[in-house]
Amino acid sequence: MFTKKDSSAVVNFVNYSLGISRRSPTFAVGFSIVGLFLLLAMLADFIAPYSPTQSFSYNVLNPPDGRFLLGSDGNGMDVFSRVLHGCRYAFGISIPAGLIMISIGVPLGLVAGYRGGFIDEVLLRILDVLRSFPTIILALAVVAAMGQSLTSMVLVIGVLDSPIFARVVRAEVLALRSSTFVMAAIAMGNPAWRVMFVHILPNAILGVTAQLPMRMAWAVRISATLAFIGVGIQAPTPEWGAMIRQGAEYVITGEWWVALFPGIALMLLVLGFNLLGDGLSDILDPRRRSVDK
Amino acid sequence: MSLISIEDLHVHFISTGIDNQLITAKALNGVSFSLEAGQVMGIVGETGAGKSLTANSILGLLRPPAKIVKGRILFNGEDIRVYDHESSSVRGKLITLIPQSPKTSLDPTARIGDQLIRMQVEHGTANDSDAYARALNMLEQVQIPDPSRRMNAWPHELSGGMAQRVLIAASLINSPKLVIADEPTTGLDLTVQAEILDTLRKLVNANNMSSIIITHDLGIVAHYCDRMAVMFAGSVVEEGDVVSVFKKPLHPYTQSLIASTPKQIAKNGYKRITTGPPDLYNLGNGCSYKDRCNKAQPICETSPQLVSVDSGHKTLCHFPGQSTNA
Amino acid sequence: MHKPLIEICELTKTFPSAGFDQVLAVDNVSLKINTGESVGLVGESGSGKSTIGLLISKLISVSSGRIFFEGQDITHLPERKMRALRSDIQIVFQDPWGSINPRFPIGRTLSEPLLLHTVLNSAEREQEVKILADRVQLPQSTLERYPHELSGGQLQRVSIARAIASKPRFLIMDEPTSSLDLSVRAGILELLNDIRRDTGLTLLLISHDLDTVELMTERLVVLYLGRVVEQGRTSDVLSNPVHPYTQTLISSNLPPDPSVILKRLKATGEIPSPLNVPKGCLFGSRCPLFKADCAINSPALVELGHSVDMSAKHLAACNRVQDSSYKIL
Repeated sequence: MFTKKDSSAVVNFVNYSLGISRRSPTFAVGFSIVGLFLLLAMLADFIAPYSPTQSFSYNVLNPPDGRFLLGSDGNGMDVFSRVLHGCRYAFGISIPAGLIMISIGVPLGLVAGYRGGFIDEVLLRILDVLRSFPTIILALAVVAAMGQSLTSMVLVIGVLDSPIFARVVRAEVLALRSSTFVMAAIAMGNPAWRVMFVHILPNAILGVTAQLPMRMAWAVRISATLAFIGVGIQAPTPEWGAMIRQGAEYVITGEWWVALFPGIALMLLVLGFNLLGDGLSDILDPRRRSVDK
Repeated sequence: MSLISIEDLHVHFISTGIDNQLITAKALNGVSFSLEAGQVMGIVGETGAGKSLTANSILGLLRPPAKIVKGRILFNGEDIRVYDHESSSVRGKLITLIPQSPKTSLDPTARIGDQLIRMQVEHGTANDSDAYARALNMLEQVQIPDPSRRMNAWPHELSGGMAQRVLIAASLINSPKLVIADEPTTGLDLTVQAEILDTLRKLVNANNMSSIIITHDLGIVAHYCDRMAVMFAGSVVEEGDVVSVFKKPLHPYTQSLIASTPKQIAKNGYKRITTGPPDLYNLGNGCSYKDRCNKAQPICETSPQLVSVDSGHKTLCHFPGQSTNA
Repeated sequence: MHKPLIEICELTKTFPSAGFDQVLAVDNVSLKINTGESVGLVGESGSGKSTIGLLISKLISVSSGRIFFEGQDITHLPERKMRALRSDIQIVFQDPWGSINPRFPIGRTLSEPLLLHTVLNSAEREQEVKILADRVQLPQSTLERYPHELSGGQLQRVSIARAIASKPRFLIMDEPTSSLDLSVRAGILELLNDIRRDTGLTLLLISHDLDTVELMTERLVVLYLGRVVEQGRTSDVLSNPVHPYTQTLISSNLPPDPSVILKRLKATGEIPSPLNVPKGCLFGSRCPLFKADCAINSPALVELGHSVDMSAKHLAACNRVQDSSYKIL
């Protein structure tokens, strides 16, 4: 039954969202964009007029018109449907990759920051290597070796980016490690793992939360890039990078729509993620945390 | 005529809350006290009492959303509330401030000597050639060892005690009539505190200046001040000379402050005193102390009038002087 | 003879400083604290008093020396074994806001020591937490609040409640009232007094406020630049200080009573930086009783008079004790 409490809950939620949007319009915009794409990804099967891999041999390279909203590509496949299904790939890569990054990076950063010593040294050296090396080349090499599949893409991106999370967490841990409440936690008799995961982690998570959308944006970009250079996912899979690759050949001959639409989609989603991450770090900035009563 | 006289000063902080409604914190509610030339007054109170705010009001340092909504600040008979303190000769010259936290109150990018010289030149109290000599002299007077070398020192090279001495020098170098010291010894060691206060008192006396010392330490008031004002929730609840107030505190708040010092507890035992600062957004009518006063009666719902007991000893209470029983 | 509850022997701690410098924060400090006693540790900045608190509670490592708890050498005890003892040795910090996890509601902060050191189930812990809140006079409603919603005084009560939750035998208080408002301090001191009276807790009170230690402690240790310069019964040390530094310190204290005449004893200059420690007696460079031997001999703690009762011994580390020429005021 819809009680007064329910309606006030809805009102609270609306107020809360409006409040957040006021605090950070960046977040609101980013959230909306990503949310929209996510929605499209989930509903792709229902919205797409055609199957993404269904080729209409008589309709190769049609410009956008009534039947093919965004035109058709060199294989006669509908660009619109392919772009929609491409959302699924974008999230299908970035979400698992993000999860891998966190599950490797956060504990690594925690232990490195808290314990220091050998693990910290190793982490720092890995970060040094990554910083001096274009990650794309590394990704290239690994994917080429492991084979071009969705799994290998996810694993490569997830593992390669986890040291960055580790670095973010490590920095927060280093700052928190000497704070009095951590000392108090130790003085109380907490074992090291509780100090790290129960006390330090919740206070260190802010940096991670803001970093995650950025890393997911990166995951989307890098998978597209790899696909574009021909190392990642290949046609006819409706992945945006692969689509742009194919479309690049046709730009010169004037069929602009094949590359443009996946390109726009890619750009928008990455922008959305970036705005989301930016907005999140605005909102979570402790300086803004004046108590609202 | 008093050197400085604050009359019924009201300062409010007016801002907008979450729901865009105006909310007002009544930070100062009718502060009144006066000081003669050559006297030292101690203003005691806890966090939120309004001590620093009073000092800032005198010096014209209030920024929005703080606003003087009522009252007068008379300095040598003139109302200085309306002065443009940026350009007037009052702030920095006739009335100076020794701020809290010495290490962060000095300009970190200028040497000590330069800051002291700047202080004089900008207020026109000395020309460039004299300013150096006067600055050096001032450093000697505040007992900074090796003053000529210290003229070239950077603020970060100084210890807390040294930095505070430099701030005292800066505040006295233009021979003001009134020096306001805002918690001048917070964060300083006990032995250093005593010396700083001794130095300040000696210089103030020697130059027949007046001084207001803002502190939460009753010991400082007892030994370095002639008069004292006890503040609570933005009002002066008791005012008088130090000996009278300590001997016979009239206001329950003053009584409880004195009673809760360890020395008094050692003598008279613990007395249950309610805790918690007042909520300046919801002060309500009547006496601001009534919620924690154990002598509160229905009449305390109305604002108490200023009652004068003996010469110069005043309090804002309906029942002045009755001792509180725990 | 009773074993002392806590004993530290020649405890020393150095901290690395910028470059290759070392700061000698605690220098050869020895102290015995008996069960049920309340001992005060006073000193100014650089005295090492807080460091000693951290060393005894094993929050920082010892550079040299030993720490004994009930006769057991815990100096290098591995953390695993130390955890069991942590229910007996607790510490309350100076800054209530900093020492409590800002993300936990108060109830959770209080139930943590119970979780770690008792076998109570979750319902029993909840019950015990309510009892704890009552014990420190916190309204039950605060249990659901977060630290930033509480006042300094209330938070310090939370800190104390958390410390006594595991029913410790020994409590270290590091400046428990320094960051609190005046009217709030008395309440905290009263609470500590009550708890001590009820549980017979052994207390180490670290403070720079002489009036507070006079009220709360039976024995007093005076520290200067990491060394003990004087120790004895609190009333003896404060009324009859021997060491010139103690005399200076006491004379700088301002009692809240204008009728008390102050006799100021000045020490020249300021406390030397711990990076630049003088030779011989550490106080020599500022001491009004300075003589040539003070720059060479680092004085040992010498007893004044003779007392059989260990806790009544009045000791001072001053070269002038021998010639009985130590009295200045």
